[in-house]
Amino acid sequence: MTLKTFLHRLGSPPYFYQISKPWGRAFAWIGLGLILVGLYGGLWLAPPDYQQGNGFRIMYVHVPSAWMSLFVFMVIAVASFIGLVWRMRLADAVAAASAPLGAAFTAVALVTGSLWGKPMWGTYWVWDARLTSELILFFLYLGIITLNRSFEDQKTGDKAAAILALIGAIDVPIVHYSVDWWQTLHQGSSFKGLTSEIAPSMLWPLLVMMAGFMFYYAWLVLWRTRSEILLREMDREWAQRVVEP
Amino acid sequence: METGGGQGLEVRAVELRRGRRLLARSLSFGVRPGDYLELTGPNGSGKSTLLRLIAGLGRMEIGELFWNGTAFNPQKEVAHHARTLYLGHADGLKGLLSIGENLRLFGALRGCRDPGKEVEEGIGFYGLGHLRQVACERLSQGQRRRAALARLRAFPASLWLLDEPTTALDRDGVERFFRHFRLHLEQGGMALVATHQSLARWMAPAGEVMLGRPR
Amino acid sequence: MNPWLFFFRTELGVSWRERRRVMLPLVFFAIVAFLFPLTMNPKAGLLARMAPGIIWVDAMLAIFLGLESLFRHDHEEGILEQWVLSPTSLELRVLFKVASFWTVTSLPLLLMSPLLVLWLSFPVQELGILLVGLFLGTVTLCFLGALGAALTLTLRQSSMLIAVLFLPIATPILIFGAHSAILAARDLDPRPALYLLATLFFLTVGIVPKAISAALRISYET
Repeated sequence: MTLKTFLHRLGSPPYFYQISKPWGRAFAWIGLGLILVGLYGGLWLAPPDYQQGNGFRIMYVHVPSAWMSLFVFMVIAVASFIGLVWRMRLADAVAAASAPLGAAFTAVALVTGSLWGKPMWGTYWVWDARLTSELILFFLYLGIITLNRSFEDQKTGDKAAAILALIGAIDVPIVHYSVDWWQTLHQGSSFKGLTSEIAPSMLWPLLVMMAGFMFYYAWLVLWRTRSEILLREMDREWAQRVVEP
Repeated sequence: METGGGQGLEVRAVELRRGRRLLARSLSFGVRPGDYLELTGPNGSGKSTLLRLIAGLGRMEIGELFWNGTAFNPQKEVAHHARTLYLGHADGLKGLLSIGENLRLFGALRGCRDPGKEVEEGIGFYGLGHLRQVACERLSQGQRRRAALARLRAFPASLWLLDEPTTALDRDGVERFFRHFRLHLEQGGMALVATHQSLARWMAPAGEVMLGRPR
Repeated sequence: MNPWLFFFRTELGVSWRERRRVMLPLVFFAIVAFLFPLTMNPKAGLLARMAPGIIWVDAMLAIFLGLESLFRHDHEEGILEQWVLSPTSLELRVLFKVASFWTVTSLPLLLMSPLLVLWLSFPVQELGILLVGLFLGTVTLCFLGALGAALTLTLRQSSMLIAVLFLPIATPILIFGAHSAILAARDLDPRPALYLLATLFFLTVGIVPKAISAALRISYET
C-alpha cells in the first residue's frame, strides 16, 4: 500500500474507526512508558539545581505541557484547513477532539508555570511574556470549544470553529510577539525564565517527557476522534452497526 | 465536462437533508424555459430546504445541478446567482427603509448602476406607488410581500425560486402576481414554486415535485 | 451612482435613522472613562500614566457593545441571505458594511477622545498620536469584532460568546495601540508601535473580510 492510498483510506471514517483502536492502544503504552522513564529521570536521577534546588523539577511537567499547548493548536489549525478546503470529515473530528486536550495542556502549563513562579519570582503570577501568551491561548481554546458545540448542526459548528482556529493560528504568533515587545518596553520588570544552559542529566528526562506527552496526546486524540466520528456519522449504516451490533 | 439533459435547470439525484434528518433520497427533476414546477409536500418535508439548496444557500453533498446541460455548483457559480432570484419566507426588506430605497438597495446588490427606472416599474406594477415613501416596518404583511415581489419585476432573472409567494397577498395582489408570472414564463423564464395551495387554478404548472413525509 | 457607494451611503442612512441606539456606545465610552478617576487616586500623574490603557480598553468595550446587533437585523429581515446569493462580491460588501459600522460607532469615539484626554490629564500635545493610533486600532477591532458577530450569527444571546472570541484576538492591537500613546506621553518615539499597528491594520483588512464572508456563508448552510 503506497502512502497516498493509505492516507486516502485513512480519511474514510469507518476505516479510521477500525484501525485507530490498535494504534491508540500502542500509543497509550508507549506514552505511559516514556512518561514513567522521564519522571524517574527527572525526579530521581537528575541532580538538584544549584540555584533553584528541587523547585526546577516542575519543569518536567511545565515545559512539555506548554509545548503541547502550542503543538495541539497547530494540529487544530492544520486539521481545520483540511476540513474547510477539502471537506474531510475526519479532519473536523480531529480538530474537535483536539481542542479540549489543548485547553487542558494549556491549563496545566499555566498552573505549573505559576507554581514555578512562586519560588523564582516570589509571586504566583507575573506578566511574563510566555505566561501571558499562554493565558490568551487558553481563552482562544475556550472560544473554539464553545463555538464548535454551539450549533444545532455539528457541521456548522465544525466550520465556524475552523475559521476561528485559522484566524487564531495567525494571531498566536502575533500575540506572542506583541507580549514580548511589550515586555522589552518595560525593562524594569523583565523576568528571566528558563534560558540558562541545561546539564545533559537534566535535559534527557525533559526530552523523554516531551516525547511521552506527544504519545499521550496521540492516544487521547485517537480515542476522542473515534467518538467524534460516531457523533458525525450517526445516520450512516456503519456507525449504527458499531453502536448497536 | 459532464452534461445533463437539455435546456434549463436540471436537478439530478440530489439527497436532501436538514441537519441530520434525511428528507429525500435521489431527487431528480428538470425545469425547461417557459415552464414552472410546483413543489408540494407536508410541513417539514423540505420544500424550503430544496429551494435554498438550489439557490445556493445550502451545501449539496450528494447530487448535481445542471444549467443548459452543464454541471454547476450553486454556492460558487456567480452566473447562477445573476440569473436566479430567490424569495424566501423573509421578505428581505430593511424595516427602516422605504420600498423605493429597498428596491434601489437590492439593485445595488445585483450590481445595477442606476436602477431608478426599473424600481419605478416594479413599484408601479404591484400598485405600491402611494406607499413609496413609507418605511417598510410600517407596512402590512401583504404590502411587504408585494414589495418583495416588485423586486422580481424590477430586476428580471431567468430562474425564480419562490417560497409561498402568495402568502398574505389579497385578491388584487394575487392577480397582479400571476399577470407578472405569466409574462415571466412567456419570455422564457422558469420557476420553482413551493406552495401549500395548488396554483393550478390560476395557471397550470408543467409538473409537480412532491416531497414525502419526513422520516 | 456607483452601487458600492450607494450601498455604503444607505447603510449610514439606516444607522442615522436609529441614531439613538447608535449613540449609546458613545455615552458608555464617556461613562466608563469617567468612572476610573472616581475609583482610584485621581492624582494627575497616576491618571496620566493610566490614560492610554483606559482609553483603549474603553474604546474596545464600546465597539464590543455594538457587535451583537451588527448583522442581527440584516439576518432577521432576510437581507443577509440575499447578500450571499448576490452576484456581486460578498467580501467587498462586508468591507463596506464594517466600514459603515466603524463610521457610526468608532468615529464618534475618536471625536470624543479629546474630552477624555482632558479628564484623564493625558498630555494634550500628544493628542495627534493618540488619534492616529485609535484610528488604526478601532478599524482593526471593528473587523475582528465583525468576525465574532458573523461566526455567532444564528445563535441566540451571542454577546458573551462574541466576547470570548473577540477579546483574546484583539489583545495585540490593544498592546500596540495603548503603547503608542504611552511612548508618546513619555516623549519617546511612538512610531514603532504605530508601524506595528498599521501592519495589523492591513493584515486584518486584507484577510478578515474573507473570513467574515466564509462565516456568513456557513451560517446559512444547514
